[in-house]
Amino acid sequence: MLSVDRLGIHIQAATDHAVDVGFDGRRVWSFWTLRDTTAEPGSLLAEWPPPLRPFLDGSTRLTVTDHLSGMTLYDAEVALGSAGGRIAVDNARGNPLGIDKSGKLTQTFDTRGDDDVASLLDAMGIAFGALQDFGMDAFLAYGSLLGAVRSGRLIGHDSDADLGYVSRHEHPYDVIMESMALRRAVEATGLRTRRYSSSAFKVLVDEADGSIRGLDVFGGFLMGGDLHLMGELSVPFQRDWLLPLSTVTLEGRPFPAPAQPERLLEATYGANWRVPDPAYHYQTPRLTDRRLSGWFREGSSFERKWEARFAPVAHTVPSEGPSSLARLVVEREGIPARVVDLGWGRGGDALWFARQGSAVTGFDYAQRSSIGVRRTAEQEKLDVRSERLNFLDVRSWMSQASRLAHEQGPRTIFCRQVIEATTAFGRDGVWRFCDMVLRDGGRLYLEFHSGPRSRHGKDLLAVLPIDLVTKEIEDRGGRITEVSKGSQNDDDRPICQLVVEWQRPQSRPDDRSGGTDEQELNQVR
Amino acid sequence: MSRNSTRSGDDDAIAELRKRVSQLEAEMQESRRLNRRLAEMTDLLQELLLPAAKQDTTAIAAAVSRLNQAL
Repeated sequence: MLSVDRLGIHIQAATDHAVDVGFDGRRVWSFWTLRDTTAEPGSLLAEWPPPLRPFLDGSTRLTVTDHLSGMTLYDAEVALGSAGGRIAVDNARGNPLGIDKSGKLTQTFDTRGDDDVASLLDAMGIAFGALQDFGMDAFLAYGSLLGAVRSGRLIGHDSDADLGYVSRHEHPYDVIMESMALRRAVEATGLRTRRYSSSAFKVLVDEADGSIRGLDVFGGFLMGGDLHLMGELSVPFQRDWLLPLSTVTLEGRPFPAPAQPERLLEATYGANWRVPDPAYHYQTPRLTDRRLSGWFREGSSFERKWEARFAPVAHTVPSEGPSSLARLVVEREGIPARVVDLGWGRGGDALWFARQGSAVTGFDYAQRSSIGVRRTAEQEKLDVRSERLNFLDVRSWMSQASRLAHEQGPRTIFCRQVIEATTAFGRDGVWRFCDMVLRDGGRLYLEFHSGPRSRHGKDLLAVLPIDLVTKEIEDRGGRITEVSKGSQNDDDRPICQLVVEWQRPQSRPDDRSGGTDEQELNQVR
Repeated sequence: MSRNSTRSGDDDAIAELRKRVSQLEAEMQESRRLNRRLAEMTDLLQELLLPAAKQDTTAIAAAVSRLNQAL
């Protein structure tokens, strides 16, 4: 007995089995009849996944099919919502979408055409080539290996390709070093990459239609009889189960695989790995998660979230005038000859400084957010330089600081609403960066949201206590010469502005002399 | 009375052990993180020391840029 309404699919089931939900003949979602349902009087309810809900307005021929036997459990015309048309679960380009194994609405393989699959396989060949050129034993992993071994095909409800490699080293430190060198080697071949942990990254391959495909490259290593493979696995494993590599066939093409692929599949998916499960959920054991996160994941940034937030306006120039912090800089310094804008975001203040005649260097890890400002600065022949910088990676801020420190003359560091967006480690990088860059003169102009420490939900900016920030700065040798408290115009949240010097030797923590000029501002302009 | 105080003593000991386990886990994570810190520093020195020793400012700038594009 089945019924369908705006809440979801109401079923009756005594045993747990995977079912596929189809709209007009195409799978859009799969679930387990017991695991993924909640009890209600007389039946079980499988609620519509949140990403699917916005599409559920119209009619469709809805089918529910047992995934293994193919038996049809439900097949009827269904109307949801008030719209008269057919329900189309498509993206903006009109490409069909389905719920993948992570619960995301995406282009799964069962909705893609032959050309699309061929270009994915081409991209995989390119990525394998780059890894092999560096001498890595790379192999198909996770869903890609499962599909190849089980059926020689990509898994219909999967949405990405997974490559793994086993390091030549046995210690996390060496594995991280190797991954850094490997990524540079891959980039040297002309491929772009995006790191998401210290031993895993994506290889980005340009597709013929202009889109970008990201292939996951998971680093792994053997230590003390265990295989640790990003992002899910820490299991007892033997080297000869991995090497020498074997070959499997995926969609008619040969690809490298572990020596005994079934060992890796069993370690990943359990003894039942041969039985297809379109709604498979991997539960990473807590110890594995702690290990892999402790070694490799600490320090991941919000880079993509910031780029996503600014994506709609990244090609435009901010229309609002200079911020109150920019005006404070000019009141105290005049128009600075050189401005270092840390975390410049869209670059509005940087563009304003450059138009007043300053030479500006804008640093950010989310570089795509400032496309519009960079283009405008180029057209207006302004002195604006854009550099990548991540305060969660010592190599990044220290190399950039050393380069700036080599350049002669004082400079003004402008840092607005940045320290709330990073961790304590990231903030320490900011203070040390300033210490290196301002030793010969110049000041830091800092602004942050102040108040009791908190971070609200998906808000990318936390709130920091002023006492905490001033103590951190003073512990790192900064001398705070001015404190202004007020609120931001648009949302009335309290903000704090600090002016800080780092000149030596006066700036040593044990040689501080009062002089803090604290101002209370009802409204920071 | 004595049974109650024993139970209370056990509860205290368990609470103390839970606290200690949490502390040990935090210390263990901190120690794991050192791998990354050390790797970053070594990589930085490796990539920047040579051009710096040669006082090759162009090579230093290129190394800084390369480091930051592929962290």
